[in-house]
Amino acid sequence: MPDNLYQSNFNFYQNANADASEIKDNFLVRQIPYRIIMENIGRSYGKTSTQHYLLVGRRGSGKSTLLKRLQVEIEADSKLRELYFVINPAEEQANMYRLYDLLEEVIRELEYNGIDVGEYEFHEETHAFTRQLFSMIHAAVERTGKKLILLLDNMDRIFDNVGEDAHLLREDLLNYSGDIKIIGASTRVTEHFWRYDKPFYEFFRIMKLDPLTSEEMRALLLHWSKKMNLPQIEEFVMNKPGQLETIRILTDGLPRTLQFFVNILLTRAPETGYEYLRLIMDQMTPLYQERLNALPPAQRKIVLQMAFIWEAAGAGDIAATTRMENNVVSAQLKQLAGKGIVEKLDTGGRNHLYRLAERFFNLWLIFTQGSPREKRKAKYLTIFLENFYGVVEIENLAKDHLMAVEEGEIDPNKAALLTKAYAQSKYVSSSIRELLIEKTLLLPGIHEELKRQLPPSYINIMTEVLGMTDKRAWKKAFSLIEAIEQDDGVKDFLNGLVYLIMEEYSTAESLFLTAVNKGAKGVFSIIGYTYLLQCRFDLAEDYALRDLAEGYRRWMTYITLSWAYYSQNKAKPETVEMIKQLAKKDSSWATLSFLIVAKAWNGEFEELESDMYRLLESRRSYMSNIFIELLVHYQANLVHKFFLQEKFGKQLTEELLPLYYATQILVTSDSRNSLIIPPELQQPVDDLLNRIKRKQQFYYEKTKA
Amino acid sequence: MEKHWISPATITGDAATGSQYLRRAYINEMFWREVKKGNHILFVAPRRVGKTSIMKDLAENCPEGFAGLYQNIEGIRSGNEFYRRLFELILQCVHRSPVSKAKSFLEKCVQKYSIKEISRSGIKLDVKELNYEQEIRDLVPQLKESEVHTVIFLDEFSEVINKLNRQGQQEETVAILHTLREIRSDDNFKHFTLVFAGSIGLEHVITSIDRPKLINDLHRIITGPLRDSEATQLIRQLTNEATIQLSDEVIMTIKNSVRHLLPYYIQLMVEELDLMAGEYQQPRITSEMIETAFHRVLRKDKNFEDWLERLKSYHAEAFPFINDILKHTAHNGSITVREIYNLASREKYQRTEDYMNFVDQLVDDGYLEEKEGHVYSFISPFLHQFWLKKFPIYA
Repeated sequence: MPDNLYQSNFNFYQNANADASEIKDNFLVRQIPYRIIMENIGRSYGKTSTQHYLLVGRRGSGKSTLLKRLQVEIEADSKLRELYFVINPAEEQANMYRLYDLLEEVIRELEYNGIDVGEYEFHEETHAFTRQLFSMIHAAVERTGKKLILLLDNMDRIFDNVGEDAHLLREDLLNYSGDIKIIGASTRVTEHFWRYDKPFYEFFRIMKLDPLTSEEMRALLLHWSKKMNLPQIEEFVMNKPGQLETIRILTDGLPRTLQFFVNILLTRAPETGYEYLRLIMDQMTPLYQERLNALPPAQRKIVLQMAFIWEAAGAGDIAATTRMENNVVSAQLKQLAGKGIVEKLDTGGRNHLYRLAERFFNLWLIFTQGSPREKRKAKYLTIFLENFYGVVEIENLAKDHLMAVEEGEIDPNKAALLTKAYAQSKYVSSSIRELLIEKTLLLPGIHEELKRQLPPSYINIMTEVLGMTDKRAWKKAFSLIEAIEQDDGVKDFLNGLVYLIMEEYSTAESLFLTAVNKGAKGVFSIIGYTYLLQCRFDLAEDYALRDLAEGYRRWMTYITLSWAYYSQNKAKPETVEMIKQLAKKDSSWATLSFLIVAKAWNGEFEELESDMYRLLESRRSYMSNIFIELLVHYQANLVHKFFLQEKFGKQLTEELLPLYYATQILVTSDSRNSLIIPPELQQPVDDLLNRIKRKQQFYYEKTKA
Repeated sequence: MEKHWISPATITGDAATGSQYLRRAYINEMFWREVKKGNHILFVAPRRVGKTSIMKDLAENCPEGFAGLYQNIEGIRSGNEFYRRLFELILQCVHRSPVSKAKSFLEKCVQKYSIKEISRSGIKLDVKELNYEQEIRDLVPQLKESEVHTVIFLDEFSEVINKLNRQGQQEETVAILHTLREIRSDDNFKHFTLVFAGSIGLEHVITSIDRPKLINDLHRIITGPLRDSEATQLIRQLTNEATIQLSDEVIMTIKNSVRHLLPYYIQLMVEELDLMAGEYQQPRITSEMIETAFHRVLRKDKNFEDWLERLKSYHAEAFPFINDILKHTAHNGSITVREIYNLASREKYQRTEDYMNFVDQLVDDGYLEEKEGHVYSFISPFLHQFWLKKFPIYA
């Protein structure tokens, strides 16, 4: 078994040059156009209407092979070879400058096949000369009784060269209908074939060679597997339908490009993915290099920049990156589209979008033409790896790479490049990602630029995001998060955090839950907290408990759970104990303030007043809720005391005036307390009193009963 | 591998002949009626309507006493080449006739011109170059002797005239037109009919050289789309031996989806249905498949791209205005003359004086059709959908 398909007789570029039996045996796809054309050939001899065909498809789509297959079939069929001469000039047909060049080639082929066409001499009056050649060909057809089938590859180029002689060709085809059938091939339907004022307007039946379907690709691969005795291919086809589909898309469904991928399957080197990809790219180089070199400098520059942009871009964007003028770029793009190298995406408006027509060519350009420090290089290594290897394999490859980094078995710069690639992959978990970044940064000798290009760790991202939220720079925060490639919940979590800070709780909740579904860990606590803020206490309790069950022992979890219990008036002793334990390690305002409430709820008043004073000393804002809860728990006098307190009583009274009046009413039943309330504050005071009363009923009604 | 699948006998590009051709008898009758009256004919129709097929059929099926010969002459590049070709065609045409007088007439010509060979490729003479224009003037009156009325079908004559004119040979162009006019109007040239047709309208070309009178004697036969019953007949003819099966209902649906029943569009649909049926190995065509086929034909938008490009190149300056009319029609289903005038009144167009010229041209060129009350809509659903696809937004 060969190590490498390339070492076998697998002929990548010139499948059409294989011998007749190989052509026939290996012809599996493109069956429909083949059948239609052969059937037409079979029944049209002697008829005076001739259907001419134009096969249209990208380079590598199998046009030349189809032409050759037709030729093989006609020449092999005993009946058809008596009726037809097949003429298939050299694939490139570089010498066909005028129509008479083509006709001379036809005559040469006829002579080669033993048909005496007659003598002729070239003369300057080329129009008459061309007519003479036509006349000789038709005479030969009439003498032999055999019609001509002309297989013309790159027919668009021929028509570009033929120019006004196209009228002469059409005249002849219409006047001698039946003598000559043209089956041409082209990468595109040029205006020769669709413009109204051109002679061959809608003259050919166009047969498009679309990208291979999944079934066709399967059939082709299984055939190669059997024919070349390579069971690995069959194994791949049977076991990896997902990757097969990805390959089909990545190769644009082109048989020729598919052959290179087959080689990948068979020669999986033990080196890193980067080396592996290099190998594949090297194999494609002769074909693609020729394509690139054939372009004039301006077009080459445009093609390269488009490769780096990758997505479809407008002429203006391309002009900006190439630093060329807009109208120059537009003109060049038109030419490149004409050559089939660029694909134009019609936006329906004036400004269309453009991208390279073949994705694999795009990848090749990035890998071979960019500098090693090209940012995009890693990104498209990522895309390639993801596309080719799929979810499970790429995580394994990332782990292999991590090991290689930890053991110092890889060149630091290469390590950095691959780390970037894996870190940007949505299939590599966040934990591996973080480790890769951390370990790679420790490697000595990495080029500074590459180091800078390594993606930030999540801690860094979160710190930066929170910094943005402090300034209420929401857009920037979201934008920062958006750059994260992984789709394992980290992004959703961070987005949820931002929405939480924006107080859009419902959106935050949804994002956190999504993060959980995607496998993010340690999110329950914040989900619980979000429910708490939405007063959905049962769910807050549930998620806080789930967080604890996962082994987390976090402040947020305890606070959430405590408040959830409190708000549901349950688990009183446990809650108080929980908060007391928490307060031993954490003396934040939030913990202390809730401790006060919990103690009052639990009927523990020891040191309650001193705790309150301590709280007021540290921060006087946000006292409103604490006071209300104390009032709920019948501590009106304590609260009243704070309003009268010398140091900060006045300030508290001013800030919390409705609460002061409410407290006054609760302290004494003196009706004057109600009368002195300014009318504009009456409603807020009443609302407060009602709220307190409702909560008292909630907390104490059952108890009383 | 599927069982042997037979595709319909469609033909696009070359002229349809034999079993692939649907004869429209009323056209043939009209033609011979006019020829017998002594008229010379101009076939008027855009491309892909079937002019070439009609002419070939007429040439091959002449009534008694007539001999016809079709020739595409678009490759001709000079006046002399034109006359030489016409001269040869006349003789070739007479050569085709079985009438004995025609044969003896031809014998005399063979002697006179030292003709070595008459074949489908032309005539070989054993003499130096002749003044073919003069020879034609001499030859045609003598056709009476052959007792055969010679009918010469010159396809793409307008292309020849156009080309000569573009090459700066306007004098020669006008001279040819004069000569032909003289031949046609001379009483001595009564056993001879010329039939013209071309992708580029001859009238358009003649107008460009400002000589409309030189063809105003020609009898115009306007060929348009098929009638409903003809379309049915064509579909049946094309699919007679094919694997696909089409019920009457399906044929009706095909016609309704094409609406503007040009043989070319009908064949595009039949070919697409055959492709689809072959892919799924389902010979019985359903109405759902027709809708899919319609959109597949439309997606291969090179079929219709030219309709847009033509407007851009022929009416470069007025294109935005014309396109606005078409976009409005596409998005609203139709456009009234009031709405057209409203568009024409826009500051950026200011076409209130000549807006109807463009509308008439859109009708003549097969984009729109006029319904009663000066309401216009796309003549073909293909064009309608193509315009919607090209211009999905219209404010």
